[in-house]
Amino acid sequence: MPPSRLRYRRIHDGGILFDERTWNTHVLNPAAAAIYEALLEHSQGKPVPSSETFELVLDELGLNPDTREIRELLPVLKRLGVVL
Amino acid sequence: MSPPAGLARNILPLLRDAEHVRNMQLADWDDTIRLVRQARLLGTVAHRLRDQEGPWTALPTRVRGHLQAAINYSAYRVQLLRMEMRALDQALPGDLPVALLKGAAYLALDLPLARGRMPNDVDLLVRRTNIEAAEAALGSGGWKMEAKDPYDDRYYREWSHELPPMRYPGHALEVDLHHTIAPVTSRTRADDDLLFEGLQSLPGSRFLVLDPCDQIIHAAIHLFQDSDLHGQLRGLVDIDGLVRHHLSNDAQAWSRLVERAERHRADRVLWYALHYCRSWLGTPVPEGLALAPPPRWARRGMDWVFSRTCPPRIPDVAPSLGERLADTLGQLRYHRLRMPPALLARHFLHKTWVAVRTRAIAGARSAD
Amino acid sequence: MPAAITRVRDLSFPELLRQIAATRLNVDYGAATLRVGSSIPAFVRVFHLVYGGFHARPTDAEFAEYHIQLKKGRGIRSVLRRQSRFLIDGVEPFEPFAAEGALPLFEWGVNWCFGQRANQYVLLHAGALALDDRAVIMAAPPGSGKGTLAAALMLRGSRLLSDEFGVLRPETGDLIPMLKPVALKNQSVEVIRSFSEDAVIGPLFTGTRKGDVAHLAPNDASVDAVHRPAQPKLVLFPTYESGARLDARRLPGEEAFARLAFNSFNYHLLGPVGFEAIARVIESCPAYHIRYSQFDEAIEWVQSRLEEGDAEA
Repeated sequence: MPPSRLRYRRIHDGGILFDERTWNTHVLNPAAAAIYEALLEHSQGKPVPSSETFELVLDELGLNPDTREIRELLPVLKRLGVVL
Repeated sequence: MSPPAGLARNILPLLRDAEHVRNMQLADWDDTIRLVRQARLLGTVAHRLRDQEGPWTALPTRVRGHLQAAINYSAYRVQLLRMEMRALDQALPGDLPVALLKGAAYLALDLPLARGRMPNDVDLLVRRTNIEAAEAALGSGGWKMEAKDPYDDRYYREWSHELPPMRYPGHALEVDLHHTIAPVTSRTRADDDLLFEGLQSLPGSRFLVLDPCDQIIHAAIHLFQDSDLHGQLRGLVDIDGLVRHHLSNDAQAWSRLVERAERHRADRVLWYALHYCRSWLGTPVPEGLALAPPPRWARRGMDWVFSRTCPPRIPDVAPSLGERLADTLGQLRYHRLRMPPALLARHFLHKTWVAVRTRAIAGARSAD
Repeated sequence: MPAAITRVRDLSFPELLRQIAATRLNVDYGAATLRVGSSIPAFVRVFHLVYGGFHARPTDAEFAEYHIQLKKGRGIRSVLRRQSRFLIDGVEPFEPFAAEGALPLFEWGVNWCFGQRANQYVLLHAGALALDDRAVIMAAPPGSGKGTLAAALMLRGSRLLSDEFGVLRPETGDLIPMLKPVALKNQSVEVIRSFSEDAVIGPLFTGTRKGDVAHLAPNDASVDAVHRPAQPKLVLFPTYESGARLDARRLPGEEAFARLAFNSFNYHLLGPVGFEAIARVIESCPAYHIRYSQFDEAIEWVQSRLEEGDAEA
């Protein structure tokens, strides 16, 4: 499945994402926004190849992967094609 | 025959040339916007004007606002269509050839005439032998049929060229499954083998489209065979767009169009389509086409009816006697063309009975 | 110096009735103009009052966004129970109201038309007011008192752009008025009546879908500015709570975005256009939630924020 075309804006500490494929809007709290931006930087805009890389990024940011929020974030990122 | 005065004043000139806006005052736009909206051409006109920087900036600001609103709304409907097509692609078996008709095809082909459309449905064409499989696939995919009662359902399946519309619950667009392009019981009988032989593929898609000549012929059949002729200015605009895009001055292409129309027994409706397109929209139709005109009495009859039923009307103004008569004639013609007389009588009888029964129930309920 | 303005209230009642009956009266809300035709005298009487400040204009050489007819009911049923019907371009989108409810029907109908058609704008579900050209966007769920607060702000010197529609222009990022009579519900009517003696309030309509409703006429200053845009400077989510001390809390940007976008009338159909426009508002305006019970306190808080130009990013 081709990756979605995403528009991202940082709004103060949080972020908002617009998916041009589905016209859905996603609202990211500051933690999610930080993760998203770190993933983008890490993979230079290409989809992140795996969940392991995702966890690597969390580690770099000093975030605990075991919180409910983070666990809920990964499937969303997969659906958006940001993480494979 | 020259076009009706109401259309000729501003709407047709606008459709022919965006620069016409410079001849219009703000007051002209009051009626024009309403009529163009009624004709479901607001998005089309908006795109045509926006494509040309001069005319767009020459528009009064408030008029431009209306047109921009139509452009935005059209983008939304197109997005819904794209999403519906993706869902349909998933639901229909990959080895089942499915062709797109009308708006869905124009959008998939990215034709200029597709810009500004506000689709309400997706029209799909499959072979008659595949129609049950297609219907079943959509059913398992979650689409539901919207037939009002078993009689309607049977009418659609046996006599018509399409199934009752299907809709995925909560989706804005309907899906219409067709197995040919002309009503089955009518005089016009498409050559299905020719039709399906002519299907062309779309790059990057499992969907097919009709041969460009068949696209034009289908649009002509849809307008002059499959409708009561009411409010069909958009149909003419579509045919004009298709002709301009698909056929150049190439004499061979034009004779191919005529040939295919004859094989689909749609030569008469094609004649009408080209006649009104040339006269009203200035479509470049070459002289001396080998297309026999209908008899003079038929042409005059059609002219009388079509020039009254086709143009959009200001809603607050009651239709004139001539317009009402023309509307009725258009409807009678439509039903007569679709059905043999015996079937027609039975169909009307059933419809009247249903209407009476429904009204009685509604009347009883509101009395409390 | 512009020529003397004729306002709706300057027309005699028979003259106004004549114009409306002949569908020759245009109403200019700012973001849209309307041409209305009606032969219901009760409607015209209330209109005379709550639209009193609006400029009366001849229809001749003009263009109206919406062509509305407000008609008497027809058929047997309407003899037993007088009705009024709302038509836009010949289409009747709603069931008839009782004849006495002609103005609420009209207001509701116009809102419906605007919400359906005005997709060249991002239509926030919010009130909008401005001091000079610095605007506050007040968004809150229905029934939370934002209409009352908007009315109070207007009566204390802010110009009212709208109590219902925050009309955002995507190309420029500014707000334009869609100025209509403010619908006050239930207790708000008395609150506003006692709040200011300048308040011009129409009759009370009981038993509507939203309870008891009366309409506050926009003041002349607001009417005269219907074509003046304003820059959003502050986003506010007000909640009225009886007895509460004023409490203001800054909202995270993404939360303010979500609340504005997901409660708007047409965000869902504008796609990228709506996304960019609302992002721009939130990027440049701080968003606050305030809880209040004293209108004057809340008003002072809003007006001082607007005046000082809070540029906290």
